Amino acid sequence: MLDFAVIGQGLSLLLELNVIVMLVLGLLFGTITGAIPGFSTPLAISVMLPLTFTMTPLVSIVFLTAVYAGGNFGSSISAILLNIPGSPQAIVTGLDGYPLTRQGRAHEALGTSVAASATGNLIGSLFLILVMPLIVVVALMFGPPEMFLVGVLGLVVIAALHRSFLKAMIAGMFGVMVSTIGMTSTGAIRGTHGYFELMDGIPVIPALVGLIGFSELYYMLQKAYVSEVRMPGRDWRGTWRQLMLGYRTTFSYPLALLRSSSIGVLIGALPGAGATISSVVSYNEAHRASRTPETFGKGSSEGLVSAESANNASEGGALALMLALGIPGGLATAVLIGALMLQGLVPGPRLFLDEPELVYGVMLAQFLTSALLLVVGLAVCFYAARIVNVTTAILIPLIAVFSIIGTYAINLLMFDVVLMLIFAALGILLRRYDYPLIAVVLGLVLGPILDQQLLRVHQTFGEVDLQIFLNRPVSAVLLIILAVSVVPFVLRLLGFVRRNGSR
Amino acid sequence: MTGDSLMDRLRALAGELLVPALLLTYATDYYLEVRALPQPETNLLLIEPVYFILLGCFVLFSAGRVRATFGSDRQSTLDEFPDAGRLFSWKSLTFVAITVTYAVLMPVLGFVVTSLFYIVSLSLFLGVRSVAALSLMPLITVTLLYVGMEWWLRLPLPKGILL
Repeated sequence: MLDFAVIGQGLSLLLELNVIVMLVLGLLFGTITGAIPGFSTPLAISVMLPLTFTMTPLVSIVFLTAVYAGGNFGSSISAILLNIPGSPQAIVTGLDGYPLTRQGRAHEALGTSVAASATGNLIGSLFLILVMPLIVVVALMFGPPEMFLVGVLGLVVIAALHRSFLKAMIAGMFGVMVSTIGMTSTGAIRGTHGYFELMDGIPVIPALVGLIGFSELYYMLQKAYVSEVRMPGRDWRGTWRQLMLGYRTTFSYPLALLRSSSIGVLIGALPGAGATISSVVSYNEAHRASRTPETFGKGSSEGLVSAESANNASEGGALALMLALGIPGGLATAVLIGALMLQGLVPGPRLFLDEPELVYGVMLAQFLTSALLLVVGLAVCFYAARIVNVTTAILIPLIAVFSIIGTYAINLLMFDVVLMLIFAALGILLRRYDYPLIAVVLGLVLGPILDQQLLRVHQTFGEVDLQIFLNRPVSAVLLIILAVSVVPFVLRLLGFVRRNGSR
Repeated sequence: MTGDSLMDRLRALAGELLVPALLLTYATDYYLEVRALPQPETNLLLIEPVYFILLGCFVLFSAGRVRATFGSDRQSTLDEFPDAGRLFSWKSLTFVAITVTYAVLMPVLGFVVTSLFYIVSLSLFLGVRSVAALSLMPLITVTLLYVGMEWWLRLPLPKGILL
């Protein structure tokens, strides 16, 4: 039940100027750092952590969650403008955002992204405050078999990423294979070739920056500008009109917005899943449900709306899990738990009993964050799109330095930079022969989840058997969804085999 | 490409099979390495099915490409690719050489010196001739990064014998 008196107290805590100022600053910092390739949201939150020592608990958490929201949105700016996602959660955003930029619709794409992000965030906040107890109950029903199936559902997307099913599968399966490198929970060391830096596995950010970002720079060398269409220089009205068109476009897909945001919240509430899987699964669902699926990957606003609303809505789910159970949904919420502990607070059921005004204050602050994201995001995007007017001769050295230093900053290791360059070489080859890079990245992101959960299934049940999945209601439902999702690809594969066999 | 010579077709096919063959070679090496570890039943839980899916896809893909190249209704292979750009050119190879030199020298000479050198040399190579751009752009970028990382975020940048 909602306690309106406590909600009122939480609201009163928010109505202070310093809270609003810190919210705006957090959003600005998150948005700008999010747009820098390699500067991940958890990194942005953790570097801001020391600044929150002197703040009150509410201000510090509100500030850090604003960095979180800004980072989630900011990573889409570079994905849309340069096809270089700032963080893994924006990999799907670039699929339709970058083609829109190349069509000269960068401002429209950014406007769509801001509106979809803010709406996703708002819906996530609504879920957070209204159905948090339910989310927590559902999340607790997800054991290793269910989590494994969620990972497989994400993997199914790989098959839909390219007109050549086989190329997408080869790239995706290679990504999954590589993602299992490192030390397992049983103590086995796989494929590290003696490099201790690989014990924790292949770091996703260097791989992402190399595969997608640096390989893009390599082919950018052959162009004078990123887009053949220039942005209007001082045409403030034109820019504004385009941004507003993007806003309106977002709301012309209400079903996609609602569906993607709901998927985002639910997946965000699953431990270890997070924004990347949310956006991938939502994008796939939007593709399946769309009346114009053929436009996906070629500049579909619907695809952009789905990806952006989901990855921002996942924040609500992740916060629900963190506040209610003290379980981090991902790295970013793990750092937020650290921030709460620095303030002498322990997230979990007790926090609701001991500090209800604080919890509701944090929840209500998410609404403010969503509203302010519209303003801050708009201001940043208003100027950001002009980057496409800068020649590649200027852009390439700058992006290269930022990418290299962003990669280095994650673990302060030059090894990561070398790894990034190796993945860049792979990305250059994959691009040349038309393999979907995103399939490799998805494999890298989903592989560790699949590997860990499958191992846990084996440890819990002594074997891995289909019966285990069928005997559990949630996993049985997920299996049915999975079977329905896989049917079109099986038919495509059978068609391919039949065509080649009959020749 | 139906009018192309056998050599052209073979070259195109080799190009097509290069990427999956490279990926499969690495995957096979990795699979065999993990299979040799103790407790293969747990270590290979995910790796084994994924490896065999990859192998199956490779076989199907290769068979399809061979048929498309040599079959009676053969068609172009490389012509199907969207225009990603040329794989190698003197421009791209020089970019790689300058970037690798930057990454190698950074821990030896330090972030500031190598980054200034990298931005200036790459900009000059890419055709920037404006003195203002060549001096201000590297100075502002390196200063911003240095102040932001070292002073504000307290993330130490690589320091070598210089700075």
